[in-house]
Amino acid sequence: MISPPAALASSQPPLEGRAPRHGWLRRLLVREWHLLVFASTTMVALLSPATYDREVRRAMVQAVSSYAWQALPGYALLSVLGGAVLTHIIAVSAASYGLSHLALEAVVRVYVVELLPLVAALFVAMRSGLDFLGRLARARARGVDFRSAEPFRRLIVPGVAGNLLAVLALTLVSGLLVLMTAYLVAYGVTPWGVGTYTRLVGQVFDPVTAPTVLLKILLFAIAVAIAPVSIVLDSPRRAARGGEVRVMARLLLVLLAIEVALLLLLHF
Amino acid sequence: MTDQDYSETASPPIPHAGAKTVAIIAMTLLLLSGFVLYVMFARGVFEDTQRLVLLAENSEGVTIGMDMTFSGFPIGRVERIDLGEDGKAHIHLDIPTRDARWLRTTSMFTLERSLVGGAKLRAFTGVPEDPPLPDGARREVLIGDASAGITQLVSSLHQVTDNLVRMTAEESPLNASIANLQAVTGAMTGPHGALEGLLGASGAQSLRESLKETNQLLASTQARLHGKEGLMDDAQRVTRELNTLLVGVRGSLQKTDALLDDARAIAANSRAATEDLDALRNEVEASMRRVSRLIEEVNRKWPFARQHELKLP
Repeated sequence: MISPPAALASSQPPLEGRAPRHGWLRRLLVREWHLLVFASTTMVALLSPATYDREVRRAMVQAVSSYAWQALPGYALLSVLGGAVLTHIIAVSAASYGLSHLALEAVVRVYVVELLPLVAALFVAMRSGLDFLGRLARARARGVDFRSAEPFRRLIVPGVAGNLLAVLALTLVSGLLVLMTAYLVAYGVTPWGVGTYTRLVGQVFDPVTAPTVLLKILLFAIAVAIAPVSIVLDSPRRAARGGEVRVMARLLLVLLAIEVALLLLLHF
Repeated sequence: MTDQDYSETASPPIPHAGAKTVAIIAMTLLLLSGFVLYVMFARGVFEDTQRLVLLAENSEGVTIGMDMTFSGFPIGRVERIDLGEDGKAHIHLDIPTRDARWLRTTSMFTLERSLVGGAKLRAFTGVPEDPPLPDGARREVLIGDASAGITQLVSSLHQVTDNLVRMTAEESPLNASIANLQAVTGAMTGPHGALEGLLGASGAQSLRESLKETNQLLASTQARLHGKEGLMDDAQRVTRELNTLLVGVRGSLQKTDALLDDARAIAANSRAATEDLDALRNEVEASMRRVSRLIEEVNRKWPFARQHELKLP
């Protein structure tokens, strides 16, 4: 069975208490290192079958249902509407410049590859991430000691799993729906454009882009899932000073860093 | 922390949460594997292909994954580009076997670069009955570059600009011509008007004097023509005399006409008399033939005299 990470046990009170003799940079680096170790341990726990006893399974299905299942219809509808509007705008604009043949490729490259994963991650972070963050803050206020194994398994692991699956499911479902919507907006209800469209999708998702997009979705999911948990690493005094805002700001920075890093990987 | 504490931090329980979780996980895995398979299918991983290598002078604008089209339909995809030992760009294409039938040994391949958009690889087959293109064939590609003419255009523009600068320079012939034109138009505003601009001051003065003399000459000519006892009066008198003479000639001609009519009547009478003589001669000949037949009849009926000789009167 996976235990709570040593970083969690060692990081709770001491980070701020020993501060005077260390610089702010050292404190920052130590804190980020602890967060990294904690995230890795959580992911290992998530993938370990031994983690899932009866109580954890029950908590996990509740979290997945709440974070992924309930969010899915609304987000799918939103992405379809956004996809239809964006496709129409790009198609009309491209046609006015005589570049109709580039419109669908632009929609797939810009909306499906770049925007949808980021929007899905932000959507889950705003909806489920904040809820998860609130639950952890409430538990902490009740005096839950996250250095013990039980809260880690029954609170943190289900929440992380729920957010992770929510990002993956929402991104994949919305991506598929937007691909279908873009086809219908561009070609209409006809099967005769499927061959051309499939070829275009094949051109966009080349052997570099396709794995990069999947990697991006996975990294976004991990970032959104782990970010709320970082609040338990903060000292009570630090958590009391706008802990939730800090967590969300850090998440935003991490998402942007992933996006930029993968763009560099993709285009340079 | 008790179970109650954990449940208090959680949201209200969701019905059928287990089934929903299984559905979400199954859907996610299904979509993931479906996406991977679809992209592989779209990339042509499951298709039988044959290789075609196009040799180009340069591979600018050619990217891995770009299509080669035939009649506007994509029939192949660039798989690899490398620089060959011959210094040419080798563009390796994968052609699906079902589309390779459009390519023949005599097919032509072009690489067209436009100002907007990427390069385009195109195949043309002139004789569809030729043998099919073999696997691994190597062909030269013809390059049509729209931007290649820009250098030439810029060079021509330089020449045009130089010419313009020369034409508009301070000492240029065009400037001198314009100055002369200005002098001419300035002269046209003088007392002699446009004539002074065209002929100069002395020329204009001479022309004016010539015009004055011409006017005087015209006045004297008019007096000689239309004045009393002028040329016009003489001409009118001659015309009247001529008219009288013509009336006399017309009378003589009428008399001649009458004489001619009489002569025509005499000729007609002579023709009638000639016709009567013809009729008389015919009657005489008919009477002679009757007398002849009568004599023959008498001789035939007279039994003793069988003399066949007949003496005509």
